Amino acid sequence: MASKAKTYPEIRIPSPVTQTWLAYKENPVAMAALWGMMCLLLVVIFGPSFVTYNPLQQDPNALLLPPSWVAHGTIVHFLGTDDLGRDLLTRLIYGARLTFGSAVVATLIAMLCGCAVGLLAGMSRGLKSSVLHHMLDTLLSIPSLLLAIVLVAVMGPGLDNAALAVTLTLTPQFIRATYNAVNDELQKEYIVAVRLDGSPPMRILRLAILPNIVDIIVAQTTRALSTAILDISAVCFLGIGAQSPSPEWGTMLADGMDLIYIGSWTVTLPGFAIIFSVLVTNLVGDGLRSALQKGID
Amino acid sequence: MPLLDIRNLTIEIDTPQGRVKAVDRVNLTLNEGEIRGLVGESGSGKSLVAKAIMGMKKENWRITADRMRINDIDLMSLSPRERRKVIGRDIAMIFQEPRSCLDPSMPIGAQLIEVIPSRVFEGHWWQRLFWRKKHAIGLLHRVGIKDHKKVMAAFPHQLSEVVCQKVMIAMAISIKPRLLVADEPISAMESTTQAQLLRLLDRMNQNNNTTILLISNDISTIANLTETITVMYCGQMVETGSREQLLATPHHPYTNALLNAIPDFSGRLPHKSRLNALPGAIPPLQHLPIGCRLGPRCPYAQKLCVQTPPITRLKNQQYSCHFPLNMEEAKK
Amino acid sequence: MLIYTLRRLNLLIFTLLILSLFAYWLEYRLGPGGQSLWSGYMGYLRRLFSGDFGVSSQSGRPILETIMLHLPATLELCLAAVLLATLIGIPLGTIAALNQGRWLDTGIMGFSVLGSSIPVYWLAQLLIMAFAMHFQLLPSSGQLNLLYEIKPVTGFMLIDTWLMEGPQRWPAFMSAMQHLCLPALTLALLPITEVTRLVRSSMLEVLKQNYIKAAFSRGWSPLAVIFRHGLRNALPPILPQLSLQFGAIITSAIVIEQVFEWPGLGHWLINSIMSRDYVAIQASMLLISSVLVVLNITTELLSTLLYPAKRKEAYGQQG
Repeated sequence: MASKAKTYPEIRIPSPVTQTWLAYKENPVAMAALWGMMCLLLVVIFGPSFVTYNPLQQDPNALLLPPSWVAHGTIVHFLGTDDLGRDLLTRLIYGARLTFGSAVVATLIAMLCGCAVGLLAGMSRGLKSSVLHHMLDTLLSIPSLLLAIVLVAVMGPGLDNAALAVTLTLTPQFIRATYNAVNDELQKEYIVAVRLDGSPPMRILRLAILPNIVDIIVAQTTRALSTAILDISAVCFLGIGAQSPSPEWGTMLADGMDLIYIGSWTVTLPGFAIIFSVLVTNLVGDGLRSALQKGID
Repeated sequence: MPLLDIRNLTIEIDTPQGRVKAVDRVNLTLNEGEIRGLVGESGSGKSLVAKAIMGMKKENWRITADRMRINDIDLMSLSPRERRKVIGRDIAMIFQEPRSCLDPSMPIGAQLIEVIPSRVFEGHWWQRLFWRKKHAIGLLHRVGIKDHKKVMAAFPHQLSEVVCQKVMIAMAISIKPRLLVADEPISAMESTTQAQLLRLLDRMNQNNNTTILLISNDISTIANLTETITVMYCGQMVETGSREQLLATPHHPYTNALLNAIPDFSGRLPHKSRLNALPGAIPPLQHLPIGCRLGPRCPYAQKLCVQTPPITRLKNQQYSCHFPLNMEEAKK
Repeated sequence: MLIYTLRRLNLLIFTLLILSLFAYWLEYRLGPGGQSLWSGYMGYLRRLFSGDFGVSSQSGRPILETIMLHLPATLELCLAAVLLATLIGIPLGTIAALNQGRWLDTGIMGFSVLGSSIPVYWLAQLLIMAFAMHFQLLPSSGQLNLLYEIKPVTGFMLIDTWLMEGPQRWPAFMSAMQHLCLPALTLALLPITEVTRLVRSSMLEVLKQNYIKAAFSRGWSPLAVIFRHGLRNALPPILPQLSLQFGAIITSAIVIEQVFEWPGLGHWLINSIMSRDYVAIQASMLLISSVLVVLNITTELLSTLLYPAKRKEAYGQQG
């Protein structure tokens, strides 16, 4: 096959992945968002090893310093400090690992479990899949944040429990999305053709269905990631997730609530961090979705 | 004074490949009470002309015309609001695929009642109550729908295409238009129903003196009905003339080809012979040839054809071709 | 249509049963054990049907009574948000669709993406900072100024103050309005963005249809076409998706009630979690989810009724 393909080097239809990438590159907003996401990931991975302060280290000489660009700010504490004299920039960078990092991990785990179950369920028929369908409908009728709150309430407070709860609430969404996608795909004629060729179900799944539902999984993943960031920080904000000295963004926001009038930056800055990460995720998701759409048309 | 007078209508469309002249200097003059056929292959710009008359332009269109008048109103100089008023009063349009032109979420009766303007009300004020409904029923009877109760209560997806088209015609005549633009009203229908609808249009023309611009891609189906026919190709007007002239002595090679393309099954066709058709296909808008746009497909094309031929008028028959066919002078 | 309705109702009952099982499992896991799962569940169901949701371990009062006390406040807030979302979202989406590709469309869509990325509790704090603290225009917390004494009739503060008699009626009503302003606005932001996006894409789909072109060919103004044919065809298909928004609204309400100290269900739920009142947690979760399930199925039925073309699909699915 490979040698035959090289016989006509000039006729090169770009692979679907390349086509998607070409379409994605056309969109400047989505590209900017992609760069933003890269930076965020870099901060998550390497950020903590570059900062000079300890996120929990208190400095009684530098309480509530405003950010450096405001009148009384110093460059030593670039984004200012909070009421206990902790450096905000350091805390935000550590918080990126806690909030964004745990959201990414939660989403990835949910995606792997959800897709696996969804694929298997999609390939099966009859009572088994019908029962699963109804169970999913039920689970999905509970809003994800409410379910996460209830699960955290059961498991007890803590960031890891919050992330676990969010993972558990996201998994049904993945199962549902994959299940529906596989079902839709199975209806199509080319699957019938493949089946008539005598392919066993696993081969159909691997070679025919999986490549064609990647776009749905990708779209679902970005949507789940932004939900995860918002839900994790919301649970922490409500005080039932990560507990107080932790530099998790939602917890920082909740801590800053009392200071809102004398030190508004302790509230606004973590908020901007959350908005930035969610916005970047949403924009990358939108860009990917429209790029994939273009690839199909 | 003609009812509709269009001179040098040009429609340019901005595409990613640049600006394309989709309709190139088309002239159209309709007299009051006339039925005019506008014939051409799909993609020849017939529908664009209709849309330009109705003012249904899109963002990337640029419409220019030396003259575009309804009666004595110049459509080009009107503001969109005034133009809508004129069109709503004087022109009605019916489309192909009539079922998709009816709102799927509303019963037919309500839609029909909605379009009846209050100016057509005649009678005393105490008759105002329910007059719209009565009027709507009358309209349905006039287009040949007898079972008005069932049709009025039905949703479009419950009716057949023909009934839907009749309803569309009823809607069109409800405003008592002076001009009816029928954009391929009978394409993709069975031939018996085609004849039915054409008869209906003909009756409208005779009873109400409505001028009809009948657009079609099939010259044979509309030839019986129309008095004058205009043939278009690739956005250019190639020939205009009365039915007899056009059918008997087509001057333009394209008209000739169209007429020859009607298969003649009277037995003269040799076994396994090719049907008469022009070679090639209608070019895409981005790759229009210069000069006479038929050039590359024309069996009689010569060097001169790279220049756009002027419109020549001969005994009420207009054509734009450098080398016209069927010329009596040539025979002499 | 009857069969379709029955099928939906069947689904509804099934879903509610699973929900109650889940809620019971919560109670079983955490509460005092003893019975077997099955007989305990049967007893639990029997208690549910007789309206007995248990007794709060925190206050010692029946759960149902407490819920009924807090529910109106949450409902008031949510309904105000839904109202705002439809009133703002539908016109915004329609405007964006009519101006597709122009700067107005880009602006509205940009606002929509930004709005859906903002955490609600953060926005709530910013609004408090701006309107309550800086400009001192609106109150920052609570449902009503404590000066007024209101006799609860319906539990809805706006109605109760309106029904009140005496000279304080008008100022009390205004105070209730002012207190509702900020929370409702914050709560509405997320649904506004979602409604805008849904309406826009649905309207774009409708605007491509032939009957819209036909309506334009009758010389109607764009506004008339939108009102007569656009909205009635664009809205029903998104109704089921809109009903999913109730879930998002209710969860945001839980968070927002916390920030604005709004005495609603969410406030109570978080307090119950803090004090580990598991009976209260499972009961409120069961209640909220049941309400959402019922809402979803009702809207689905409603949209089928309103949008006859969809009925065909509904029948088609059965075959």
